Amino acid sequence: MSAPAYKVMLLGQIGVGKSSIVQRLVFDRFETSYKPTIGVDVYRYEAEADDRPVPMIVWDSDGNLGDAMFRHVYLKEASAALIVGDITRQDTIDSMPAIAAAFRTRLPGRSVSFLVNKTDLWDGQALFDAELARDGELIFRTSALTGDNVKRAFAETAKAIVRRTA
Amino acid sequence: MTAALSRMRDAPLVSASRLLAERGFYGIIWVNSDLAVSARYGDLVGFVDVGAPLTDSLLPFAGMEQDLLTLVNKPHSVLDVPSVTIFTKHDRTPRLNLAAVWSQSEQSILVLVSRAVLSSDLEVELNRQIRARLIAEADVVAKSVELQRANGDLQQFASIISHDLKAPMRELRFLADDADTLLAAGDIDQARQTLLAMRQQSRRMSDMMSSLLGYVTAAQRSEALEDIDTAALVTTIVESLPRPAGMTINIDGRWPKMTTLAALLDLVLRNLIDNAISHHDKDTGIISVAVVEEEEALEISVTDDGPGIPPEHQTAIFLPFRTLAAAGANASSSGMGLAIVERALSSIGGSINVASDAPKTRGTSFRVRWPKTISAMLKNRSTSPLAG
Repeated sequence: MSAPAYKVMLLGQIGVGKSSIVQRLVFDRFETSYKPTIGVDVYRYEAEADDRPVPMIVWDSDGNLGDAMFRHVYLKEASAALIVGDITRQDTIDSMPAIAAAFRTRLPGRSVSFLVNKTDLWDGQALFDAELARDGELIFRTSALTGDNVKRAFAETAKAIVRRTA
Repeated sequence: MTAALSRMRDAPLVSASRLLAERGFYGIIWVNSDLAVSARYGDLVGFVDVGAPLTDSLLPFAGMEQDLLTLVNKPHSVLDVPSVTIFTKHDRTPRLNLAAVWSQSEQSILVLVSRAVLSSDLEVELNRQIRARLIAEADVVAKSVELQRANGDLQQFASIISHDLKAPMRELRFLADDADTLLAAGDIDQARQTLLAMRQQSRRMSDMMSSLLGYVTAAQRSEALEDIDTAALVTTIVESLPRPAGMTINIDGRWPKMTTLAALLDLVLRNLIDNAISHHDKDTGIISVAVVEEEEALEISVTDDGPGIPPEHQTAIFLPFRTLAAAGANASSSGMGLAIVERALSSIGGSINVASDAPKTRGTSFRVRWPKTISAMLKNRSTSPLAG
């Protein structure tokens, strides 16, 4: 029997780049045309933590589900959540702490990270870190276009999962 | 006889089921008690390896092994995972509905895999367009707010240009006329004096333009967040500002370490303290720079024992190029310091107000609310067409 795979949820509002992140992660590609996710897309990915493989099943969720996501079977037995916001759309960043709180309520103790995405479209400094960091989650400034920090975000999530389940 | 009839009646059903399975509308997977695939049926589940663990191919069930095992001997329980697309290294499935049930007759877990009905191209396109519109609408709202603010900036800028810069320009023109007349009359000494006045007027206009540039860019500058010790920042500012020897500046309160827009905070504090020094009418005095840390913001006050600001002037002091012509007021003041502070603060969701009971009592206190929440700062920042 193969090693157990950990379920990792990608959450966040519509159009923040969740699918682009997972496509960059798993296939190392970026598609310029926007194809909204309907339901969920499920991928297998192998991260590493302390030189050990950590198999993950990444659930790329439909941003349109909103709060319904937290009542859905999709979230069952998730080990971690990566919550994505679009650095160019303030409302998507503002919603991240609330999504994290809802995830933590449903699955207490699981790892939660924030991915502030589309940094390739932003030439200023990050203005979000301090507020997002208040809850103690890991924060990554990512770009699915360039691949910046995408793998690192999942590697750190893998470490957090291993620490929790050890 | 009855069994034979029943088989005949079932024949079309079996035939139809086979057709649907062969055309990829659904598939069935038999799962043993080790949660390995013991058999499969239908093209839709062709990607599932017989003998391998179910979750190797049906990824959505990974992590739900315990839920699958609780189905055993419960024929009426169903584990539904609707509307999933499974990506493999080289391929992807159509969007699928998965339903796991227990079959009492076969003593096995069955997973029914069917095509999700929403997968028509038309429906996908409709969804795409709805979402694109939602995103566009959110952007329009954000841009409208920006535009409103930019228009306000533009109006104010036009007002400053027409009102405050027009007068010195007119004065410059009159001086040029005077110089012309004096030269024609051969009064060289007086003409030189007039040229000197023109030079001073031109320098004053140049200073005003520089101040104006500082004002319009106050809301755009200093984007960088930094981890700073605000106590060190305020101490540095106080030490760097020139003042009469008898002017004492006290730093009060517990100034915290925080992550904030350091350069903008420097700009605000520097202008307020400098304002308190330069508008004091005596060589001796006491200025207090104090802070109270609240949950959402720092409440900063800069209080002096100077002449004070009468109530009728307390609104005008925050307008560009307005300075009080009170006795002892600093003649070199551009009248932009408080305007720049007010503009910088409003751009990050902060605020400033003034308290003074002049001429009844001396002294002025400026109170600044500096937000600690960074996104509140961002919300109020915008790109102004005046920023250049």
